[in-house]
Amino acid sequence: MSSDKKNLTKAIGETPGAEAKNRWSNNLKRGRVPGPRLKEHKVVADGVGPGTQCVHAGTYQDPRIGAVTTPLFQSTTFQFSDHSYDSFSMGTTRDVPIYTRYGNPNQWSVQEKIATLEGAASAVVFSSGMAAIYNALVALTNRGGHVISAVDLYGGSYSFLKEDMHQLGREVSFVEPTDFKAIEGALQDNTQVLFFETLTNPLLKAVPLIELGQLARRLDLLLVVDNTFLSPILLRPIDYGAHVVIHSCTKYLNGHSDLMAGVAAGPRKYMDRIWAQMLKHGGHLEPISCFLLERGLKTLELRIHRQVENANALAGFLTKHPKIRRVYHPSVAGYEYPWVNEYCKEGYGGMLSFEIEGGDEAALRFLDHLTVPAVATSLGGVESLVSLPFNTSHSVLTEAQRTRIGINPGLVRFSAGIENTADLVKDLALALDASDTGSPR
Amino acid sequence: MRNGLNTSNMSEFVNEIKTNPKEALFRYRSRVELVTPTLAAAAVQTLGAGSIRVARAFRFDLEPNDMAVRRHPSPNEYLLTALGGCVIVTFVLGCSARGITLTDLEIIADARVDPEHGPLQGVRYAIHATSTADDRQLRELVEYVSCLSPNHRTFVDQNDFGLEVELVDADGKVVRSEQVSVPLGAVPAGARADTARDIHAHVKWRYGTQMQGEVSTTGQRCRANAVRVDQPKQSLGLDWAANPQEDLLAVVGAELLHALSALARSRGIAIAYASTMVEGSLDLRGLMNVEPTAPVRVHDIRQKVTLEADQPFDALLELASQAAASTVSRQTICREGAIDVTVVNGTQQIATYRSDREFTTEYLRRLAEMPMPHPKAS
Repeated sequence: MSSDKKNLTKAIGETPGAEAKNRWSNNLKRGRVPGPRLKEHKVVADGVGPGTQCVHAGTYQDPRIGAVTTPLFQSTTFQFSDHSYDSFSMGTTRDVPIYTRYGNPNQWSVQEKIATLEGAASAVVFSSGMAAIYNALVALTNRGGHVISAVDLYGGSYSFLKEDMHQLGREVSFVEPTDFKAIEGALQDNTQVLFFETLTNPLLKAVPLIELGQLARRLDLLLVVDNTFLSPILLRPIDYGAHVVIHSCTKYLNGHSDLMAGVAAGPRKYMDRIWAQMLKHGGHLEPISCFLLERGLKTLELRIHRQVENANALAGFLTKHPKIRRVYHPSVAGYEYPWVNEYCKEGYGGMLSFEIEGGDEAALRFLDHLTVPAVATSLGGVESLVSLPFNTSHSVLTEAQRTRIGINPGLVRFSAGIENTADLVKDLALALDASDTGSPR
Repeated sequence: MRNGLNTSNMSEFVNEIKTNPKEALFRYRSRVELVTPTLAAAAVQTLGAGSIRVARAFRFDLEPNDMAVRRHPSPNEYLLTALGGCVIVTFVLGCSARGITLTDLEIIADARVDPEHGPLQGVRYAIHATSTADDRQLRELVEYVSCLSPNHRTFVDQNDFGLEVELVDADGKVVRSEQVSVPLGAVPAGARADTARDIHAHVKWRYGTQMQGEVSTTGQRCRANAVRVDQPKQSLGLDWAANPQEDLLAVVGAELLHALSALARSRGIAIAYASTMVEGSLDLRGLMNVEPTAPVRVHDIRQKVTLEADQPFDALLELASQAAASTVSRQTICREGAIDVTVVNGTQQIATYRSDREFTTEYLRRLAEMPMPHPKAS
């Protein structure tokens, strides 16, 4: 092997130093390190603001060319070096460029950025939010384990927990996520994980996050939260006791409705387990998607604040509109989960839901008359998106089942984009006015 | 990965518990229920592993030590498996920390159960290893294992644990509960085996912390004598089987229920229901040699037996206490003991020594005085 190859770059962190001079395992050297990251990956100073973190954290600073942004390492494999050979025998393959399913500098850039934003030591990116949820929950539980989650979880997550977890030997109890006593009442001796969304979809219920964090620490449970609706700009759940934070990066983190991705962030110990699970189950994120996600993240803070502004304005407008029966948003008077303000101080994200007089028929006519938002599923993009739960995310439920979990006829889910506020308000006003007329598609 | 173990994970754990001892504290629990007068069903319970819970989904059945024909291993046989399994795990940890690659590893453990003497007698094992280690390294490793294997030390060290007896009604409601002392040595007739028996466990390493073996007892036949041992996936294992500490605790439980059932029968007492929970702790700073004052052995053992019987509570207390006192596992754990160890490198026997309190004390003293790092092995 040439000396150049021997000196190919290595990640931070020592090898364990398993060697003959050791007496016993207490002589092993490697402690947990953040990352993985290379010395070229930029680590921002503690205390810098989220906007600076968004722009700079994790950027691969090219040592030869001086590129300002992270280059695209569109390579499946990397030349072996002494570091890579060592990593196989020492178990540090997560820290050395070997094979893109194991790790790639583009993954490490975007992981470093998200970990920094979430206040975590490490992160693992995935090909979707569902891949992140699947790998995290399987990695953090054992056969015979038990998970407590929400009865009105996002449909994809709910299906996995309801249809697959028992086949993997794990039980799940579904409870009302805002009812702390119900959560406590579901605890079992074999409970390992509490899995909740910080704001629920589509009714924007806030979980008692602080109490959940305290409960988890007290009883040696792992609190895993899906923070997709709020983003780390508005809430860093780890600050409130969560162990692992999950996002569908397809939504706010990327923010441009042009890639699918997911992430889990938390202590390196748990991230290593989740990464090892991903190696077996699949779901890694391709370098090109990492490149796009890193670019999208640079404007996260700007986008979120604009989306918060738009959502708040729309909630205020709709609350006063005579054709709106009810608005579901933490900013409106009478919101039932005031504890959200204890951990969410700069806004509640860009999502809101509302019920239109006249039920689902009227809601369908309303959609027909919108001209600015796109009528489509998903959320968190720069463009406003609107959909009806009854014929999309919750269509598998009967009307009675939907009513039981609070999804009443006429419910509209709205993801505020970054358009001008006045344009959105005007468009919704016109569509509501016209929703009496025409027949729905 | 060397020897199927992620050395990096082990290293990170070792360095974590140097600064955060809570992560080193593991609490194991095995629950055993008497299904028939001779069949005890063990179910490993959720493990408290530092600051997380680890669910365990392992069940196995045990039949009495003195049955001539069994369908399942006996507690005595499982006791030897728990010893051999723990020694193998500890040995693999040590090899991996020293950069030694294993090809083959197995333990052949033997002991004698003598009705005149409570604990296992003449406990011995031969550790057969084929690896990159030379004779000196191998012997040194095995000596370390003698000092740092939790179950080995549980056999060698003195220990003590009581028994809580709980009386329940037909609905499972607790009627009365009391802690009772268990005077070792008083083995009543009816709870005592009639003849001496030689027991044997052959445990083979497969990968990482995973191993399987076969057990037997001279003069008895067991239809399903295979045993498995592994660690949780959070502790370098594959979640393939119960671990050696869980096996050890299950043995204590099963043997008590078998003895209690036999003793009750001999006294004409009908037991409608019997189960027991046995718990014990490990401080992994001991196994990892991180903290010299941390106990290596399984400690803080607690046992509770739950009975439903139409008998005065005092009679049940006495019955449970005497049954517990008669069990080989309790006596082996509580009394100071010795193990004869033979080390075989490939096919060549290279060492044999007795591991007892004196050996452990002296060896650990010498270790503490040795300069660091240890001189490179030749």
